[in-house]
Amino acid sequence: MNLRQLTGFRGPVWIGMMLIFCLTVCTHAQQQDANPDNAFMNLSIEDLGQLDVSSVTGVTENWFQSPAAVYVITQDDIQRSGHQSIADLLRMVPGVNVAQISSNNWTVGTRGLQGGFTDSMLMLVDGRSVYDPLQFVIRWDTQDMILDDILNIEVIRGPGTTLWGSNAINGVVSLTTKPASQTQGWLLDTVIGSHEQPTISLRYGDKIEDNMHFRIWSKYANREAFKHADGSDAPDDWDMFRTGFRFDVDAPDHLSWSIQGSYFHTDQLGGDSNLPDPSTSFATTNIITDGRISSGYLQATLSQQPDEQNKWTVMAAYDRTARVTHDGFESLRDIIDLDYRQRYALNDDHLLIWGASWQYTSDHTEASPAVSFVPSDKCTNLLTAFVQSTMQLFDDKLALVIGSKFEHNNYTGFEYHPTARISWTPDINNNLWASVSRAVRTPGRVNTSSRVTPFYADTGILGGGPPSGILIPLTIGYGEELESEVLIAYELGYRVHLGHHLLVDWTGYINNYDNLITSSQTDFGQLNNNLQGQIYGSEISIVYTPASTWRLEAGYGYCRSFLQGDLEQQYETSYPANQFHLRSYLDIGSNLEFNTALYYVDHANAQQAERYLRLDAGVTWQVKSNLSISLWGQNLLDNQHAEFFDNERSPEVSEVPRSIYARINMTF
Amino acid sequence: MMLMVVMPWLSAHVVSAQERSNKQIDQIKVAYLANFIRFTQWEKDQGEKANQPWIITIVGDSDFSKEVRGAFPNGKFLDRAIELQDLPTLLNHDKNLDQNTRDKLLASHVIYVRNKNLEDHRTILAINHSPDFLYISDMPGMAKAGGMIELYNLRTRITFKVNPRAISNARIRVSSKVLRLGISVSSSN
Repeated sequence: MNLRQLTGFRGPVWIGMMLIFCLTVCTHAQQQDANPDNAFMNLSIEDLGQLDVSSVTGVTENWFQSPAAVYVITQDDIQRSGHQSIADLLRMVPGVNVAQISSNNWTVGTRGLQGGFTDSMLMLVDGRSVYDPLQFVIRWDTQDMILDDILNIEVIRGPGTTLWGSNAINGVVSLTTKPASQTQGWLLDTVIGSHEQPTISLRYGDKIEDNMHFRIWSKYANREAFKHADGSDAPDDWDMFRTGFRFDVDAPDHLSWSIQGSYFHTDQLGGDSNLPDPSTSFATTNIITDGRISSGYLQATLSQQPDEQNKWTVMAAYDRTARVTHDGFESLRDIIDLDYRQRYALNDDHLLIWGASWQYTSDHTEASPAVSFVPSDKCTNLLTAFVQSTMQLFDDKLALVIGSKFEHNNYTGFEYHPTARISWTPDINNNLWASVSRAVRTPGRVNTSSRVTPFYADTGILGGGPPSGILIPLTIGYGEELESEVLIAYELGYRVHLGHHLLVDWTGYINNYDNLITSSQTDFGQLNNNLQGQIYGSEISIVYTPASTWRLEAGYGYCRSFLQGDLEQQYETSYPANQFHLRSYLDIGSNLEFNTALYYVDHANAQQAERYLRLDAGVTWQVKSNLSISLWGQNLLDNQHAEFFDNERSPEVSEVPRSIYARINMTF
Repeated sequence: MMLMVVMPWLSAHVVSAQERSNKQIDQIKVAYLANFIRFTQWEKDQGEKANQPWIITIVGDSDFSKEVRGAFPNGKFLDRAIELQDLPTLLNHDKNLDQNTRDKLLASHVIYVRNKNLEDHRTILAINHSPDFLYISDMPGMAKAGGMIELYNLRTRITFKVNPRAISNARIRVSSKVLRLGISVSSSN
């Protein structure tokens, strides 16, 4: 059965049915008790704080009108979720699958094609990419900070490559930290429990002049090991120390500049690894070791915003990371980023955004028995430029966004990432948007230079005969002639306020992939581009506020893959078909909160993970305006469950255990 | 040719972006105001007075009063009527607070000061050391100068500062959610 027979016109029909549904609901919504004068009256206090009054469109743009599948995690969500890591916070985003592989390792995916690494999403922290250019993944073990200092996390599902470039093929996570002026005084935050043993955060912020603020901070975390299926401890306990600063200045002439930096260190990143046994054919030896990471960055940003529509920003950053993995592979990499962006109003309703960037990376690697890079050292340059035009028509009811990014990289040369988006907001209660994008994920250093040796093999057995006693390493897993993965994505979205208490946000998508990088089934696992096909799905988010003291939020994601090529079945089943969550934020009186969250994730055969249901619940008592005490239980429904099994790296799965913790948060 | 036909028609729909932006900023502030009412309890609303109208006093900006009025088209919020009091300033020509204005202030659930007149700010602070109204303003430095909630522009966003001490001195209860979401400041004196 070929791909077309499998998919047929199912996708378009399904999208069409949803469109009819949307228009029906739209008509109904227009009959609701709407407020025609003020589009913001339906927004919560948290949502109001997220409004950007001079963003892409030059005038007040709120999330409701943005022509993309955007979800915003606010500081309130962070406090009320109980999660203690940035990766876990993404569980709140409809359609995003967060799987915790071990106590210190996560994989995050959206819209299918999820492996043991997060390689199809890009993550930015205050505009700086934290995508690892050596492994071409997001390393979640190094992404951490004091969670109170996060302003918000915007998650764009779907291609974000026009503004952010390659690797944002399936989504972008953009984390913004609070300016130093919002973190003044002392903060002491302590978390201690069955898994957190403990996590202590300390921050001090002050001002030098009325327009000069700074903060300095440190965080130490010691996290307990997860469990094996038999209840024994997995070897993945870890600790880490991180410290950093931020210094902001609002200068005359609408100039502002900021310098921030951070240093991170761990020498106890527990884990195990399978190493090839050189004395036995097709055999491995499992070793338990601690990985080590030292990492730091320095970032400077200068911007000028003479009015609400015009703005330019220059960002420069330097990042250095030294890492020793569990199998003994060592790497040292340096990154220099330079980025310029300008927003320029051609007239009242036409805005142009353009920019250019340069990224230089240099790495040095030292081989382990299982992994090596050839060549061991390499420098790369990535040059990009983008332009995007936004037009507002008919009193802002219609918005058109057209743009493209162009880049030149060391692996595939020239690439382009065009997009066209349209957003129609007939009234304050309805928004319909659609987009077509071409996105590219380029192969990187790991795809073209890495050599993996899983086993030694007897030459006699390899030749089909009896054992010869001569063993040679089997080296697989690279491809020197790889091309870029190409995605053509079609999206349709609809948002509606149904009265003052109910908000529905729906997105449907069809992703057509070509040249996906996969392992050959016939050529000892060499990488090639022999995988293509279609992935379609839908995401829905519903926010219901039955009372001023109670907020309910539900999210559902559906995803189906139809692929053809090498390892098609493995990739088709790499992502859960269904997942949903239900969160409840309840205020009891003025000083007590009761927050709960229920998460369901379908099985994903390729990850050897069964479906699971996870319940988190916590109570927070605001003792005084500057002191709160919380008690949380996580994963309350079962003793432990597996979310992802990476059998290439570990012989036994690490399971997420039930845990409880207490938290004291104090400012003074 | 097509452009020549379409462009004049399009230009008729163009509203000054600046005017539109200022209006939207005021609308966001009104939406904040509604949220603050939602998350505040007043001592004077206990018992039989639980359903009395919300009395909102706007000082110093009649345009903002219109924006508030327009935000509640049926004159109700949370099933209670809204009574809007519009005061250009608080002090009379003799720089005194007359009894009528004083009564209006004391009857208020919310006083929102829009002007940057420090005299008005001091008058509100002096009217009652344990006030039973919520005092909001976008006057810069108002929270630090003893006010309760100050709305302000933080780069490209509109957010707010809270003065927990000023709020705890009042005969109102503001939800911990508001206290947590705002930037806490303490009085400078």
